[in-house]
Amino acid sequence: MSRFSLYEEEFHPAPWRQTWHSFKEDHVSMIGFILFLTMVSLALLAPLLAPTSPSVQNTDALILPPSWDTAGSINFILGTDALGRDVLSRLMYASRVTFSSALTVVLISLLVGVTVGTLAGMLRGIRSSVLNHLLDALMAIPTLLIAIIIVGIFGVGLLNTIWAITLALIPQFIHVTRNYVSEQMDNDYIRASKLDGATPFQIFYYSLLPNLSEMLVVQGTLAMSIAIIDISALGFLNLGAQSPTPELGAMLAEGLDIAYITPWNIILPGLFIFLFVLAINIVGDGLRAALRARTSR
Amino acid sequence: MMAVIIRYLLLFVITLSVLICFSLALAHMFPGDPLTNLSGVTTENAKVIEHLANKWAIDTNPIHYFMNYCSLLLQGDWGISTISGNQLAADMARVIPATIELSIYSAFIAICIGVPLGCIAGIKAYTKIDYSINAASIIQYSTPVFWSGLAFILIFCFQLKLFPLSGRISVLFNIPHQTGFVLIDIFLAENIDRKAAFMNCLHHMVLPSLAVGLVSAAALARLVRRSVIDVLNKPYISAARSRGLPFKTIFFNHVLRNSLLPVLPLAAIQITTLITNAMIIEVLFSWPGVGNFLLQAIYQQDYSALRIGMLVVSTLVISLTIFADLLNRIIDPKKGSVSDVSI
Repeated sequence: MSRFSLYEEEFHPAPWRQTWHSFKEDHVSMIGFILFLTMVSLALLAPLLAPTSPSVQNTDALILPPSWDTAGSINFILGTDALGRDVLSRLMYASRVTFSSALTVVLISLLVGVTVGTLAGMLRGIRSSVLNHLLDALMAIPTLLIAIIIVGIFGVGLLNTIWAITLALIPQFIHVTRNYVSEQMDNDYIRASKLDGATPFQIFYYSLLPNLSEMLVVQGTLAMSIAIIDISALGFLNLGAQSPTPELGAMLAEGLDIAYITPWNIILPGLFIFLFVLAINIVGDGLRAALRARTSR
Repeated sequence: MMAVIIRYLLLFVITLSVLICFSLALAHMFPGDPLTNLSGVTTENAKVIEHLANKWAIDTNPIHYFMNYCSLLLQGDWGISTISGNQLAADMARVIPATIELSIYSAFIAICIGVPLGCIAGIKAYTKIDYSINAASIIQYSTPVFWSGLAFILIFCFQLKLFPLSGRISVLFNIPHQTGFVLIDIFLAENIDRKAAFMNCLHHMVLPSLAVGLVSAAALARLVRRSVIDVLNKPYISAARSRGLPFKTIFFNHVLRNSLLPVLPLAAIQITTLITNAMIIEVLFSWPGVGNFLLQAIYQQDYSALRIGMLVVSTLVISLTIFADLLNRIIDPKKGSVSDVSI
């Protein structure tokens, strides 16, 4: 890159920019990123792109195979399900539901997790020790169990599973944040700002958070893939989104009844979940590698 | 050493009492009468209700209530299931071993596939072999377990007819319930063709354990790969190389043990994922384990069974995690240093 340099100063891109540069150099990560953008835009633009509404039933076109099959029809590109609903439109609306609930889950648990994790990391002594050990133990309780309990108390529904998965993901964010914060608290730059009279909140906001943010993005992508798999798993077990709501896991469960006649009804929703999670995992891996490349430079 | 063990024991006791407390609270949070949720008995008979209230000490002060609940739990009187009327302790003794069995097979598969693949990928880092192992693991890791389970059923059970669809063993074999672990029960059973039963049982468990094990194998391979790469860059490996040691010696004496050590705590976190996946796969393959039990309980709104199931599963998972943590603390000479490895 040629740039005019009067004072022979080197070009120092901002940290985020450096990460983006090394992320961009990796082709696999970029393909994952493009796949991710495609999936997200499919989900976001569902009302514009979807051929029909996800709940319209075409009684004259039940269990139609996808259009490339000889028995298929071009009107229903990915075929129809047992109630004659267009699978493509349902898939797009379903990924909208699944993706947005996963995003909500991750954002809430990130917010709560970082707050509690910072407190736990800054605390010293017995309070911190009790909190940490209890959290470590609670982290081990499986999501499915928490979800079953919450569904037992409040009944089935997408919203309840969102709460359940949020509860299950919070400890992970707390764990990561707390480890990082308690590690950083011994560093000189924190001590310097303490000597400057910074309050704990100022230390957090000006000194810790900028360092923390990238790690949180990486952890967030990991949590996002877990959240998508969990939401669809609960939908699949009939604990999450209920029948008329299109949701990827619930669609899979609906397709299960006639899976032997219409395998595409379980293959396609599963493929969508898989592509979402794969894209997020590849992007997460690429980000992690880029961050490692930058910090070890 | 003793201090560490006592500390972990204390942690275990505290966590366990939190869980018991929580399960007691659940009886009040679930819909319906708390007494029914505790005992599992639905009755209008005033005498019976009074007896039950006395037994579970429901109207006494909270501390006595809690202690009484603990002592009932210790005596093995866990109440009965509202729907089936079975003793819950007996139900748990039946379903928990089945889940543990599935988890053990899956963990075995995960370790047998994941660790060698991770080592190979780590040694051949940034070559074609590494990239293909990495790609395979990320693809496997991204596949939802219920979907791969379904794919297994469609391909291997329906199309190829290679493996049976459901259960742990063919119903034609009459295996009396002794330990709950079907492989052990086969050897304890009398008057059956042990070899045929054993083969039948192996046949039944291939698909479920593969479905669960492969996901964990992928995660494990990624962890091991990263750790091996990190260790290979350490100065002591260069020192060993410059001394002219053959690579085999370097790998088995210096790399392997040092790289598996930091993987252990992270692999312990995977226990939770493994058990969750096992519980989901149980539903698909009608494996008579605790996942199936809990889901039946929630579909039928059997709250006393849910309360006990939640307590038992979380106790199981947490004791496994704490034990793995303790084990790691004991074999790791740099104790106190928490996980310093990443994916």
